[in-house]
Amino acid sequence: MESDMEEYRQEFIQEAREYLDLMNQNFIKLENGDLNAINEIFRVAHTIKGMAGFMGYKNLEELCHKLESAMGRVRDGEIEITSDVVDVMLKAVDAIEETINKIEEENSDDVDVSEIINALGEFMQEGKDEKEMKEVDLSKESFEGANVRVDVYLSEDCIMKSVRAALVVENLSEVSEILTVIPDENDMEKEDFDGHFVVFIKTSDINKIEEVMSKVAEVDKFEISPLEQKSEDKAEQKEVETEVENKEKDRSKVVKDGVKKDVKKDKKLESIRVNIAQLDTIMNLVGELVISKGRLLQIASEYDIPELKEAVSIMDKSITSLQDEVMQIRMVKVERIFNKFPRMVRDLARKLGKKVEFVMEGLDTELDRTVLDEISDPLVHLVRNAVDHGIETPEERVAAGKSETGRIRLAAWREKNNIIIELEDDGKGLDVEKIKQKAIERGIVTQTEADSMSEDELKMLIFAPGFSTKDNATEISGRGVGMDVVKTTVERLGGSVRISSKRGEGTRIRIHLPPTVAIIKSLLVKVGDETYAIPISSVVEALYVTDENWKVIHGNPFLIVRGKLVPAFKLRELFNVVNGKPEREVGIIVEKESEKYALIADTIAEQQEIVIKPLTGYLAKIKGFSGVTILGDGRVVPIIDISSLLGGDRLA
Amino acid sequence: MHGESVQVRGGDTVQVIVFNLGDERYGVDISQVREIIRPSQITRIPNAPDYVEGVINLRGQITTIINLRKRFGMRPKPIDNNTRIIVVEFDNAVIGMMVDTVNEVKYLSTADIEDLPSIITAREEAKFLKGVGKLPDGLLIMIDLNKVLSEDEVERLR
Repeated sequence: MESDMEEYRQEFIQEAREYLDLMNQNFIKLENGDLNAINEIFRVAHTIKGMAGFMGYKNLEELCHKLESAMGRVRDGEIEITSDVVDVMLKAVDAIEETINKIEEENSDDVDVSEIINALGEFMQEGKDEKEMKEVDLSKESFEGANVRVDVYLSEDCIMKSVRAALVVENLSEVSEILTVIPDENDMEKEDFDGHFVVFIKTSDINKIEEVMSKVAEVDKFEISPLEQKSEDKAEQKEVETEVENKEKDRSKVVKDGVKKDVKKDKKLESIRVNIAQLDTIMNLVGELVISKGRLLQIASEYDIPELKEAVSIMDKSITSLQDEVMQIRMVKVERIFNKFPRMVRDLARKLGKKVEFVMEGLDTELDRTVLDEISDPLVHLVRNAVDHGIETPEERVAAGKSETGRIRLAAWREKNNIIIELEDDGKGLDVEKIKQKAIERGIVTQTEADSMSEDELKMLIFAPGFSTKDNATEISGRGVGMDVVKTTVERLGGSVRISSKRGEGTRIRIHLPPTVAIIKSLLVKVGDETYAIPISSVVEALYVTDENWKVIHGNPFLIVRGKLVPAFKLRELFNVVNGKPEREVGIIVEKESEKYALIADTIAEQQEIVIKPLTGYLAKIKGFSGVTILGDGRVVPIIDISSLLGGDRLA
Repeated sequence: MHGESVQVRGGDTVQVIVFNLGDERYGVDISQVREIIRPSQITRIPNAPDYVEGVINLRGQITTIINLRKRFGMRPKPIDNNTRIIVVEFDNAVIGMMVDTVNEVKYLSTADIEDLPSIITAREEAKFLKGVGKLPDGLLIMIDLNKVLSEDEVERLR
């Protein structure tokens, strides 16, 4: 029983956090005038309240109840939405979050929430006095814009009608915007659901709807009717209105009854919660399989067994698909971390007295969970920076002839084999002269070095450790990660950062990231009797070292590649390999931040797919390696990390 | 638990794995030991701290091997037939400690474990030690895995 409760608690905490995210997003939407958000917040507050009640967290229940009531008033038009109102409500959301943290840590919701409850209470009073009764009817809202009504009749023998219905809705959501479904999911789950339901959607192409519908199994018949006359849907609206009202009265019916069915909810039906640790285990097991496969292949060719080779090649196909699938499962939409930004930008802008319009694009772009988790903090820093250092105050902007409101755009998209995240602002841009001065002041570069640097190189200096252009580190940007952490994190993940900026016009930071990290193609090279792996992604080409192309200039070795001098590094020396010199060496040309370098090894052994296993403990922070891998014969081979191997101090 | 278990158990007995480094006998609480293996192919990791021998593939798990002689500031000794690796689980990581030889498993009453005399604890390498166990046939130095394996020490020693 104890452990059962613990399990429930964990689940509760996780779900509550997701709902909190949802709430934060919707408050921002609300502030921007999206009245649909009210319903969503109302629903979420109600859900958390229900869950809290079930778990016996009285304080939390009370808090949610107050928020819910306040939202009810907002919805009824009794309270007008101003930034101040949203501030108080967001504080309530924060209090809920704090309470949930406390529950996680101490299994107690003993947080002092009286202040926030009072503040909410005050609003209730205010609202009562004003009684403005502005008509905000959400059921109408949700229909405005619907231009097609789809009547679906599921066949009689369909076994799980509610599930089938959800599938239909999901399919429709792929080609159109679902506005509402009648009856809603809860009613469908009841026994007496007869298989007839109506979906109101917004679409530009009715033919597509028809195409989708005709493909769904177990649908007896369907009718697609364009909605034109207002009067016709009025009747439907009535129906929905009563639905909504019933729900509200029925407060005891806890958990997850939606006021409005939306696309998001449909998606939830089709997914299950998986523990992250389990996912990692599966990933590791797939990695093991890839290694075993390599071992089998080796045996097959060593003993020359054609049958085994054939069997392994078939197994190889399955493993590859399995690997792809697991990779796919690990992919998470950037939405998951982007979603916290609107709230952050809003709070920050308000605090700094700036006006910021925050736009996000490409929320559907997917990244490996590990990559996403790693990149989260650096992104927070960049966004904070954009608001704090990038965007000017309204007065400054007007003086500069710009609109009062600054604009920050955060976008993600896929380009070939990379995921690109771009943050752009139309603020004051980078002051190259100031950067130069600061860098010299802080001893990052010398005067002569700085003078010889190009403008782009100077801009990249903001990523150097110990750099900060603002004279007083503000509360906002002066904490935790700095720009140097942004750069090292991205590079550790195998990506790169670019910055471009025009004085007075704004700054754009572009991050390239690999979508996944766990399994990579690599080149295995030999140095003495040791083997090392170099990720193919950073290799440009390879060539033999000869007397002609090997030059030592002022004590520094260079390899001449197509007439260009490329700085060369002998792995033998970097790694202190003591065994004798080979007759002929090979130069592997690698690229780091679009600069080329030559790594000199003895021979290239082969090209292979490898599974990255991170180094832990003592070796976690070691420079020059991103991890190790296990080869088919069981040998362990270190994987060279170009960026930290040739990083910072070594080249300076 | 970690290295504290020896003291926590009060009047109980602990099972201790006894190993040798040079002429001295050391002990480690068996509850922290996963297995004892012979050294297999160890892959060197360049630029690692000098007492890190490298990593091995322990049934698919990458295991860092540290040379306990070097860790304790003793002169290293080439791997021979008696060399063993004591694999311990510590802080969710699996780490192998290379020792000269593993002798036996002893029962030790916690009452027989005493703090080290201050003349010894003052010495640099003694910070890895947590007490002396008295056995009928002599003394046994209990090592403190917490200290031997913690990362702060690594940082500091660099």
